[in-house]
Amino acid sequence: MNAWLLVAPLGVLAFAGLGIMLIDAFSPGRAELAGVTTTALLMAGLISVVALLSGVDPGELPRSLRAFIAVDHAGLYFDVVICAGAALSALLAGGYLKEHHLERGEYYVLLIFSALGAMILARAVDLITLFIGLETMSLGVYCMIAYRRTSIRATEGALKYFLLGSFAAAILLFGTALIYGATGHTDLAGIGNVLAAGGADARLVLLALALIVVGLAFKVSAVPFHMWTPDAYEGAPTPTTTFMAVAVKTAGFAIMLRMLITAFGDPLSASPETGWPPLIAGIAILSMIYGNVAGLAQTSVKRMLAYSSIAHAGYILVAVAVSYAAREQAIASVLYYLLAYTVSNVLAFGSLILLGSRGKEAVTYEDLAGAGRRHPLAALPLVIGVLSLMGFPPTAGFFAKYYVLTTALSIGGGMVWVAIILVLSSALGAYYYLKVIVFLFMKEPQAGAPKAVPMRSGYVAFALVLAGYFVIKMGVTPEPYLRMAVDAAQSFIS
Amino acid sequence: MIPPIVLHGLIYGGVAAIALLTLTAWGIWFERKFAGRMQSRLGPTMVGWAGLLQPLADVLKLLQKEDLVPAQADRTLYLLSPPLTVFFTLATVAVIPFGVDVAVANLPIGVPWILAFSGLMVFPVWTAGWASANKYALLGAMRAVAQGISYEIPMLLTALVPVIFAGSMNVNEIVRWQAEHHWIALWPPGPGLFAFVIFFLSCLAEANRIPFDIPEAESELVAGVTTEYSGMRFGLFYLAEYLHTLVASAVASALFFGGWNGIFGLPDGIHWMLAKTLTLFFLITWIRWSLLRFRADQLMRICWTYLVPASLALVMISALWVHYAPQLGPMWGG
Amino acid sequence: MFWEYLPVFVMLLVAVLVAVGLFVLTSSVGPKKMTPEKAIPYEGGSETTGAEGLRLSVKFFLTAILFVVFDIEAVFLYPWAGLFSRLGWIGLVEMLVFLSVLGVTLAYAWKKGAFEWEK
Repeated sequence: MNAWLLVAPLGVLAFAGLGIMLIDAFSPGRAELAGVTTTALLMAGLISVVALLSGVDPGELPRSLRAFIAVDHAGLYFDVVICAGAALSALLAGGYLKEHHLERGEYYVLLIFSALGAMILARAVDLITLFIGLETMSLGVYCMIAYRRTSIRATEGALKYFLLGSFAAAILLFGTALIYGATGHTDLAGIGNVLAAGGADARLVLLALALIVVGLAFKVSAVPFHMWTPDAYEGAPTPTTTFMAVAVKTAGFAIMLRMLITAFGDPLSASPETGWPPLIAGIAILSMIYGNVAGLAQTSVKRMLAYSSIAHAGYILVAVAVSYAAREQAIASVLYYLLAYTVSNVLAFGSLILLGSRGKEAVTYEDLAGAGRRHPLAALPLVIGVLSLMGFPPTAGFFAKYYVLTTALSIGGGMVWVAIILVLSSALGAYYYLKVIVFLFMKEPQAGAPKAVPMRSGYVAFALVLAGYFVIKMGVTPEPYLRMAVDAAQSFIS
Repeated sequence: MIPPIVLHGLIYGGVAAIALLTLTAWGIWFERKFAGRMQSRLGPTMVGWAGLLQPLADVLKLLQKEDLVPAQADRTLYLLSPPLTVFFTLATVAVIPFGVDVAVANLPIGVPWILAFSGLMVFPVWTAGWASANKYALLGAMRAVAQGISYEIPMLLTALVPVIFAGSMNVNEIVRWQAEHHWIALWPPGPGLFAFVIFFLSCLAEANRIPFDIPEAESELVAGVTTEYSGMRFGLFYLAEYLHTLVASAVASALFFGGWNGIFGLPDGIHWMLAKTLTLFFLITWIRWSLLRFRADQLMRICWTYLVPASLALVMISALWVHYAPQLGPMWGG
Repeated sequence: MFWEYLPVFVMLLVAVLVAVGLFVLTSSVGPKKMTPEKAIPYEGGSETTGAEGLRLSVKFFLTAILFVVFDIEAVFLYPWAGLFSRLGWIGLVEMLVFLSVLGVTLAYAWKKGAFEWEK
């Protein structure tokens, strides 16, 4: 088998992005760009799956490539998750943008290049690649948030995200500069070796570690670096919100794991008392509690989902915190969680898109009142989506939370308390998820209040069917996906 | 006792600066004389033989003029801009080899050095226009910057062609390579010559020379960036413009016409460099007094839709040529 | 390293000295009679308004963005060009890909009307 298969997904996306740019420029408004984009992304994802299953030897690739881009199974796994998230977002965009008269080719170009950036970020094994990936991903997302130029909220969200994002990137860069100064390496493995040999100034390393964690925590919207999240999520067109919630977050966690395991995986940096695990656990606790408590107070469903995404970042961080102690079990649960979270979120956001139409959008709980009884078929995916996000069996979200929980408990000690907080805070979160269902089926719209009217779109329906299938499938038979995650996690460590 | 290397630096640097400023002064004389002849006038005749001392008289006159700073102007930037233009232009000269292996500083990053400093030229122009607090100056500066940065791209790309052929960024190495092989403007047929033409046009635009002098279009913008400047400060802008033209001619002759390399096996040396530079300078002057200026929109369109794609193509062709020509035999490879 | 650059510094020093000398001369020789009329912006005889509130076309900003895109890419080409003959076919292919991407960008910007100054 040809080893170039391992990096083919990146190439496919790069060329597809350029192709879409040309199609858009030379035949504006005529081509079905959403279809083309989705096809390209699905193709890239499919290549990754094939490469995962075929067991190609990455050793055949030139060293100059392997030094910058990971060609392991974890990288391919992240490709699959990011491509799936991006492809589903593209499908949602295909319906949403047309419905709201926003259909312009730029969106798909930005989407596909952002996805490429996310994949590069998730595969970065060098600080240089890390930054290139991060910026490629972020720049596209900034534009995608501000896509509805006449909307004040979109501009506000985009500007907040842009300013804070640049700030976070600067902090991250500062951290990487320090770690380069301390170890003399830009490749993560080299940094790891120097640190393991104790050849670096511990104070510099700790400072760099803190800065890098802060920079990455911003990208995954963990408390206290979450301030931009509600505004950006709410202001952005919903397909962009979906993309941010799934692909950007996945890439953020991927590079966080790589950083922490490969570069800072020495006993001192990863010590459960004084290293990064307590730091991450602290951020996780804050995110879980804050995300769920603030989620209670929301009247907008989109904003509620933003806080829910903060809470989910907290849950995933619990597994990240024990990734040094529990090794592949913890990493596998992170990977599984990311996939489950991707499909569940697409389901939730996608059905919000489906339930609204131009001028009659479904944004607040009130908008949804009674919609379940008026349009049961359109409301069904939303029900499944929030149940999965809540962690209700038999959905993907249940097993995701279950694995994180068992991993945390298997470590014992202080992590037991973190696990207890996880359970309690998700119980709290159940309130606002169930509120959606209550409004859908048990409330009537107030007299004279605008009603949300579902839109019709084959793209959105297709995305929902796909996502819904996987949410149920991963909840009923989680084993194959878990096996894939464990396999990817093993390549991470070796 | 001064170490020889310091002495070398002092002599080369000092002599080059003074020689260039002097040469520029008489470049201005030449242009005025030439313009006069083209328009059936005599040009300067009064000061010295054939008006040869006219530049000195100009300097003396400008020195006696009042040095005005408008009330609303940003004083620091306003005062700083004119000397900066001369400063940046002169800095580009440093790496140009005048004689055989003789340059003020024979730096390995020669070509990027030249382009970087000529790219910096937009800053003093912009600050001058901004600091003047005059709308014509500001508009002129805006146009100058837009034009300067646009034409910098074909310039950067076409200056790449000699670098690809010679395999070095050192300007003296590029000239030496041409002395050993062939002048880049002449062989291979096509890319070299076209690259020269585009480079030359971009240099004209960078120096704001006709037909690209829209930033100081006197019929619509009074005097563009220099509207508020008087006396010697205006003189420095004027000096910098001619210096820039002269330097651009020198760079073009070094990169494309073999610099100090003689023709027909005649001995190499500084005279060849001077001759080529002055020939190109003459060409620029000739163009100036023959053509009209372009409109602002034509200017931008010429750059982005003709010169940039063409120079991208030239870079590709040159790379392909260098890669494949050796396989075609010694006659082609050079 | 430093000595290599010394002549450059000397040359620039001469330039600074010439400029400073000229300014010192002009301020000592030239007249100094400032009047309110001289201090207002010169606008060729028409009513003076100054540069305040002057709004510049967005085209200029677009040009600046295009410049950043192409200028940075062109600078990337220099190290490659210097080493081109030693890089072999990998260098050739990589740069052809790089230039094609630039070409696509240019075609996109062109077709999207970024170079239409009068629109």
